[in-house]
Amino acid sequence: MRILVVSHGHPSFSLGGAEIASYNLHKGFRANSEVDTHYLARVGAPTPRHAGTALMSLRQRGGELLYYAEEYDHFLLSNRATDEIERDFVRVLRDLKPDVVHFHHFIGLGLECIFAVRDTLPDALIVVTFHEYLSICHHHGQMVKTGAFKLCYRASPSDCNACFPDISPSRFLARETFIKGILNLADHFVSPSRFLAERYQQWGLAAERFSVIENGIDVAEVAPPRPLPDTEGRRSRFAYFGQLTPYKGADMLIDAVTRIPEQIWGEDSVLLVYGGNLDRQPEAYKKKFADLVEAAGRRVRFCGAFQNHEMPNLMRSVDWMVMPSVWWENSPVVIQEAFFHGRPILASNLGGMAEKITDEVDGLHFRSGSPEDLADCMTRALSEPGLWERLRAGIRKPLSHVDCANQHLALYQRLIAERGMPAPANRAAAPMIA
Amino acid sequence: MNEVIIPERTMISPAPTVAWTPLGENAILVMSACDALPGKVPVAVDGNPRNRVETMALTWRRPQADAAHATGFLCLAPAPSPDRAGSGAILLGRPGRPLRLILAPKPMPLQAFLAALADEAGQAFPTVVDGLLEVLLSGKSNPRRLRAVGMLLQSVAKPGGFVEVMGPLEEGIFLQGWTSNFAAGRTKLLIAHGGLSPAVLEAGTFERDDLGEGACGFFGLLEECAIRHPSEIERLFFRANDGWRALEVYDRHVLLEQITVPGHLRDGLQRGTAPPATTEKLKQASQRFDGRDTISFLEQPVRAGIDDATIVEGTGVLIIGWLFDPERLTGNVTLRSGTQSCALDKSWTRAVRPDVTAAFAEDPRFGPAMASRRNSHGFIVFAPKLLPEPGQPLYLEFEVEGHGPAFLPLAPGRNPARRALERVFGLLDPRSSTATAVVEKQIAPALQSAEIPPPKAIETHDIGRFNADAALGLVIGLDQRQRELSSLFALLAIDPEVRPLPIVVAAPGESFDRLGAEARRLAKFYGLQVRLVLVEGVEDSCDALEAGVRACRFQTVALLSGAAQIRMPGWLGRLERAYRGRGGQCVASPTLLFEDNSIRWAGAWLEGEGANRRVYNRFVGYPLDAIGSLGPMEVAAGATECCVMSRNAFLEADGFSRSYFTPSEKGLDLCLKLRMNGVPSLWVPEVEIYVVEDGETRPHVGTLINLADRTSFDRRWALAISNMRG
Repeated sequence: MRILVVSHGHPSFSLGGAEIASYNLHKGFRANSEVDTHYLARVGAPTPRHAGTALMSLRQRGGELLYYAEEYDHFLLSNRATDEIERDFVRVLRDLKPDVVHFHHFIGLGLECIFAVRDTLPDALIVVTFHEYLSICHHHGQMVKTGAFKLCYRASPSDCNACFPDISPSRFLARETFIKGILNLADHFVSPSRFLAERYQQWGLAAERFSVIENGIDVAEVAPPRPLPDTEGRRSRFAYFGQLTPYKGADMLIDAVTRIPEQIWGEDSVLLVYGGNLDRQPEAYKKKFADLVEAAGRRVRFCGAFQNHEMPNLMRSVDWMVMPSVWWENSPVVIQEAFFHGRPILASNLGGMAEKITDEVDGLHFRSGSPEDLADCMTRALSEPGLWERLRAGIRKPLSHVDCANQHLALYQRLIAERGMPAPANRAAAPMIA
Repeated sequence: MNEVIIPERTMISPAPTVAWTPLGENAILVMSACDALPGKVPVAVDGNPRNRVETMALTWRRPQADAAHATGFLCLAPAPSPDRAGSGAILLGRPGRPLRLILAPKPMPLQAFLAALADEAGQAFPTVVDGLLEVLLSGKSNPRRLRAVGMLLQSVAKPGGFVEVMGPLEEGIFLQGWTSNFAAGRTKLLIAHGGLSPAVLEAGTFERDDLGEGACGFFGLLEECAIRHPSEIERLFFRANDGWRALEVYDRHVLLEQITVPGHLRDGLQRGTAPPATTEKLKQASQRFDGRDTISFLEQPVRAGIDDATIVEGTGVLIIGWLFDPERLTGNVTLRSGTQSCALDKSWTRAVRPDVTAAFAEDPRFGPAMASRRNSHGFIVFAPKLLPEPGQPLYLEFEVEGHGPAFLPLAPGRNPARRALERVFGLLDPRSSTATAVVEKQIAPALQSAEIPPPKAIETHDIGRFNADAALGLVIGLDQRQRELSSLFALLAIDPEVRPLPIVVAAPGESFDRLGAEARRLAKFYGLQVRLVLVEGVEDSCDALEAGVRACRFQTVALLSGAAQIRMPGWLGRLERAYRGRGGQCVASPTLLFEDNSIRWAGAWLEGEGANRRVYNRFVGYPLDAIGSLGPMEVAAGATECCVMSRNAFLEADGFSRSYFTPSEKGLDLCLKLRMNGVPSLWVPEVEIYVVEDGETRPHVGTLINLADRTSFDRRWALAISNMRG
């Protein structure tokens, strides 16, 4: 079977969760000798492009292609450089002749690429994985209202116009019909969380075309638990990993920390904040954050931004991970990483978080947006004996990238069989130009 | 045998040959001498008693001549018949002694004849000429006579003054200058202008210190004259007490613009004097419009102002303004331009204007008048068919009691009909009954009478191999609003029944630049065959659709408005099959939905009885599942935002009417026309299409626009609908 995995970014250039997930899938396929896998990722400015072609290599490993795309309509998720799609993307499709094209995103590449696959390879299987709600929601795909912070439960042209008064309902309708129309050319959809899948089904994609497959992670070694200073030591190290945007709730976390009474916090507890981008946030938020940080004093330690590959190391000094996001979250890879290393998670009882973390089994839930509730959880974490061990024991090992790839393969084979078409031949990795 | 004695007296003297000159119209002038001649004699040509008239003879003494020729004379006589059947003789019937004259074989030219007359008559010449002029002018005038008169006058008239200023007026010509020979009042004149024609001068006079003794300035109106423009005047003749005089035109005279003449008349009236009748005439003439606003300076408590004046191209003038007249002194209010006029106060709609009342409340001049409490000072009026010509001022004339006419010039804008009228909606207060009256009585009729030119395709560009003669094709009509072409083209391409069809995309010329490149790129990527049509005169999507239909030759056309968005694949296939299921003798339309999936249109139905019978959109606003699963059914009218119909049927019904503001009303009108032509409308509920018109107009304006369309629609269709079956 020959597979083409399409991503909106290559992990060498951009380190988002979706890029990593897509690349992990490709790596997982590579581990299977019966599969010939290829990876095509979008690059954009400031990387300089070749004049006569959108295709690039930049000395990537074999089986990986880069596709330059910068004429992108963010509103419609449309690529205006359709001439290049015809000339370069379609050429790759024709020469490669994949049996399966799996889109891990189409940002930058444009929905037109999905049309191009269906038009060029009518028999290929097209699968699309969703990582957020971009197809539904123009507000960064987060389904959070603009203006005063409010979660969004349902999209419609007039609701969306309320968030974006400059964009008329008819344009939102055009966006919806366009995206749905093209997505319906795909054969199957994958979501890393049930929560996200249900949102898309509510939006109008057929439930029977959905599968939930967790993202696989590729981490070499489990980080051992933090060594405790003495037998009296508590599991008192909390860590936050993520950007410092209002949606992630870091400010609420620090607020919660200040509310924990001194006798409970003690001398040994600390909150480690790993993350960046505070300077990019709105002024009001930055001010609020600064005030809270001052109030928290030495209880909070800022450790700056982090790279994904540093995670195992960072986990060594962490007992609990806290995920105080006030928006839905889909399936942040940091959850799986924490679980991989056996760290229980305190999380908002919202969206993907509530799905991935089971209250009292492998972590604790607190009411989203409530510092008091979070403070109560942290208090339990600091004072309830045996809680950490119990929750740690309840953690199920997350999916490895190889297992994830295998689950995908099983899905592809099932879908192909259901179509009544012959199974694709085993194809050894072969050069594209045969 | 008796002897016959022939008395000497009965001897026929030899007939003298006389000089003569033709005067046209069967008359000649004859000159000769004899012993005596009465002032009035009958004259016969060739002795033919049937051809005789009475004529005046003008005589003079010839002291040097013998008795038989002591009296020179000049008289008019009938012209000899052209074939000279007679002897070319004239018989003057002197009592008892007829005088026979033989006409010279050839006539003399007038000039020479007059010269000879001058010689002959000597000192009596002026008197003779006077008499001759009288005779000539008293008869029926004809060009020759007048030419003769002109020549005579030329040689005879003495200088009588100069015309220094002239200007045209509607009812005459303004003259100003100086004279020493006529008085103020009514004077008869002759105007030399190539020809010669009579006129009357009503003039006043005034003192000037640059003139000599006895001379004075004059100013006045030349009336009852045949000439149109003062520049035609060469000179003017008048009969003073002492003979004919000429008013020359000073070669550095001033030629006034018509609009400044009233001002000169007013000046003259201030400086000079004239008898009452003349003064009255001149005063009236001086009250003509001269470009100035005079109503704002009236002593009477009457004021007016204009908020908006628009020339609606090809249609008329739309005026929004106010007239503050608490004592009701104003009678007629007329809109004028050049020779065109329109009585506004007969057809205007008055509107409440509390701002005007407030503005004058503080003014002491109007204080007492405010007690009347009237508030409806505003007016909105459409003057049909009044189309100001370039260069002609547009103004209002108010008849004000105790003053006469007062004027208000207008500075109109110019706009195409639809746009000008649509603007008015925004200016109306929707909560007032005035708004309704204005819409029903001014705006709707204005649009109905407007001659809006049909949309015209200016350019077409084909992308891919476009088959203009296909059996079925799609026509998309775009208006000025921005549409997401990426979405539209993708959805067309995804549908396997639509992708191979030829598609016409008609768009307004203004958006062509942006649209053209985008459409080309997308058509190429999606492999669609597209004909882009650039259209001039697009006011809404119906205009574009019409031009699009005319730019192709498909047998069956599927119309899709730019406001429509595709909701389901297979929409066109299903519509077309339903259309063919009726043998192609129908207009097939799907259900139209709003963006929230509620019903925008699900058939137009006939309801009510007799005069209350109407067509209406029965299910509008209902949720989609109210329809259940109905099959295709005939309805009173379809929806042209999305439909399938025969192209011939569209053309035979002459396409969309341009007398409505909204595309939906235009569509309804077209479907009813088709129905009358034997092409009924079919609603196909299994197909659904979104039609989303973004609310660019404020809701209340929408209500007024709908009212206008309803008014126009009812006027056209109410009777037909009351008789419709089903």
